[in-house]
Amino acid sequence: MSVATEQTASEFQEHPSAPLLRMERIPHVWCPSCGIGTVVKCYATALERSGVDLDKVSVVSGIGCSGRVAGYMKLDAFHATHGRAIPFATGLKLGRPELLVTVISGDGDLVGIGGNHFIHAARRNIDMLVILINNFIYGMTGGQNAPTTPISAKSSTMPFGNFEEPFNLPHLAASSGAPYVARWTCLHIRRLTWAIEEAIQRKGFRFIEVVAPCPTLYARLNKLGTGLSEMRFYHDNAEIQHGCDTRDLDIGFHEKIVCGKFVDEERPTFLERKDEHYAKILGDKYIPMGPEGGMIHE
Amino acid sequence: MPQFCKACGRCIEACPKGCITMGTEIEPATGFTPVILNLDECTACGLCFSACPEPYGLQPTINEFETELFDPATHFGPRTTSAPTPVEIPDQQVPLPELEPLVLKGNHASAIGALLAGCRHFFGYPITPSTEGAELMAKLLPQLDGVFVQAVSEVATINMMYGCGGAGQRSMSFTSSPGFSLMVEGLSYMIGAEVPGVVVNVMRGGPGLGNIAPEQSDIKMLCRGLGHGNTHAPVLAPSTPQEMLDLTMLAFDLTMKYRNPVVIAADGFLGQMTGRVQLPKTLVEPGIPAWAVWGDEMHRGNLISSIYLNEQDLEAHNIHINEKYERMIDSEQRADLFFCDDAEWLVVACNTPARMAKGAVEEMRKAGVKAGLFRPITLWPFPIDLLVGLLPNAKGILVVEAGTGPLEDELRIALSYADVHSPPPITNIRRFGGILPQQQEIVDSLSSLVEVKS
Ligand SMILES: Cc1ncc(C[n+]2csc(CCOP(=O)(O)OP(=O)(O)O)c2C)c(N)n1
Ligand code: SF4
Ligand code: SF4
Ligand code: SF4
Ligand SMILES: [Mg+2]
Repeated sequence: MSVATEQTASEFQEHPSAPLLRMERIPHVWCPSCGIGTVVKCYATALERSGVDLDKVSVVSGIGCSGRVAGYMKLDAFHATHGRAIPFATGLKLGRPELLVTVISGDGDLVGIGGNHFIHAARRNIDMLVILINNFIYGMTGGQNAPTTPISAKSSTMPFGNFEEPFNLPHLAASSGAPYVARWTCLHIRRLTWAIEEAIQRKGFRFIEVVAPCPTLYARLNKLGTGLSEMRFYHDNAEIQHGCDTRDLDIGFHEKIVCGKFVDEERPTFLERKDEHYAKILGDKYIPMGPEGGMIHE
Repeated sequence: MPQFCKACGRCIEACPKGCITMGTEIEPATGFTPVILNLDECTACGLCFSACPEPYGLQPTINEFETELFDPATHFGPRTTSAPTPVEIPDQQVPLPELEPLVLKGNHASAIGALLAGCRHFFGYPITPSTEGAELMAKLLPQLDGVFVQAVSEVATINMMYGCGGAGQRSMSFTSSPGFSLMVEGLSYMIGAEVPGVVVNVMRGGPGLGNIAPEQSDIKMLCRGLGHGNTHAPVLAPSTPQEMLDLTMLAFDLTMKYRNPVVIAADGFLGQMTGRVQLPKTLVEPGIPAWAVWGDEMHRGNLISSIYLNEQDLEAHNIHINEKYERMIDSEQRADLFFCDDAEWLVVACNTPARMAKGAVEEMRKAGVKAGLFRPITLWPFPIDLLVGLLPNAKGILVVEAGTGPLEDELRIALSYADVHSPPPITNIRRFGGILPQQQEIVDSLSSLVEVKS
């Protein structure tokens, strides 16, 4: 920053992520020290490093603070309905099978109102990369309880502390059939970037949970300090345990957060199964859909 | 027996003597081909009875086999217990001490109204600009012998209300436009099964995610589109925090009286604005309605369901529902008339735009123009009976709304059903996207109407 102030405007170096961002929409809506921006940066870096054709990448978000991600990415970006990013992405993937379809959205969006879609897309192993930003709360609407809020943490709809059991997301994803499951925090920017890069190379329903600070609501309601103190907390309390049994990945209130890659296996995707099944049953009569998505009149 | 045989063939398999064969004649009552019994070889082993899955299918007779249908009472005697006819346990009004008026947000006033009306069950899903209502309920209900549940969606919310209301309890939710869209399926079921419940829709800009600023475009959905089938519900439109409380209490009254959901159409501005609110003189201690599936002996005969497979039954059910709608239309029309008695220029507006319209009418009166404000409080049923009497004086009607015209549509539909085929000219001011019509706009519009006429 000190370097930048000595430069004139025209001398500004372009930010490395700029080619992937809709700079005209910046500044974004996120609060100071919110973790969502970190995820955007890691995702952008991973995309560039992976060497995928950026014209064939799409990003879908639902609704929420995290749901605003799609709106800032200079990619084929879609802002879907609250909770429905995954069925939207399913439709998109089946409409344009050659695209790399990414879903980036919040915990409330993807496993609260969208929970049913989440487990079924994992069960079908639809080819998409799902990055879930878990801030343990409904940020956009002002701090209500989420299906991830740890027991005893406060939210505006659990003013006396939460008593509902939260989801253990990697376990939910793995037991629903996801072939790639990982969890990182916003502190682990390198590992998160590598994980996204790696997941881009895999196929099927790939799931990465990113534990992110929401200083404005979750941290404030729970007196956890600033975004920076949240990062210190991750530093002191995140434990990397690759291959950990997903049953052991619950997150308690202000307790250790086990991170790592927990599942990385191969399983035929929805479209692969479809092709295999109909080829067997219908033989020559089966007309598989091309990567561009069926009959197109050029 | 033949009427109850579904021709599954299990008894044929079961019979060691080959007494049973599949029939070939279609039984007119069912469309199946019941089995044929030839009992010459029958040893009365009873295996076919055990095999038959039909409760009224094959069963033993006392003396000899026959294929007549039996009343189960012949075998098992009269039913040992029979549910008594349930009786209504009425609500009680409990006097409240007189209190100074409170200063409350519209959403909070509505939540307090619900508590005073005896609601102790809140189900909801956060959505701006309605969430303060849910948040207050989350604080208060655990201290008031009640339950607050944050559902995982509005679909879950409305079905929780369906269940809770089915047990005869008063339940409610706060939501805003996109959330209300998700509730309409459940509302159709509640209307079909005649289950009460109150939903406060703090309307915002649409379509789609739109924005969180006030709009009134949902009036179309609330009055004409409450889910599939023959559906209507009283739609109440408050325009002050005081009315947020009063109309929520009224909504509970109506929802229990008619066994039909009731919707409160508020707008984003009203939900957020604060104002003085006088608490009522009494609060309600709810009883138990006779129809409730309450879960005791008295209510055991009750059933909550919206399925009527037989066409005649479903038609009769709809006729019954229509009779309820007729009763609502006859007795529940409400409107607030402001300077309407001699009004030549009628402004029609509800919710927050009615506040601007009121200011505009006052301004016009000061300028000597006979303007009046007709403010529907029930949007469905539209208070047409109160309007018709004002029409002979009226030279023009100006509909002011923060929406693309659904209030005007309701007005025009009501006029047409009231056989008013040449009403005074209707003009409008429509703002949307979260922008409210302003007093000056209304004054300007009225002034130009008056000028043109004179
Ligand atoms: C049908 C519907 N209901 C409710 C809302 C309001 N709403 C917007 S975002 C949101 C929750 C977002 O939570 P999360 O996905 O955790 O995202 P965060 O803001 O925490 O990043 C809700 C309930 C909506 N937009 N649509
Ligand atoms: S409310 Fe929380 S999640 Fe939303 S932008 Fe602010 S810090 Fe981030
Ligand atoms: S880390 Fe925070 S303070 Fe530092 S440059 Fe980034 S936004 Fe600014
Ligand atoms: S077992 Fe019962 S249902 Fe089945 S064919 Fe015989 S009578 Fe009919
Ligand atoms: Mg969240």
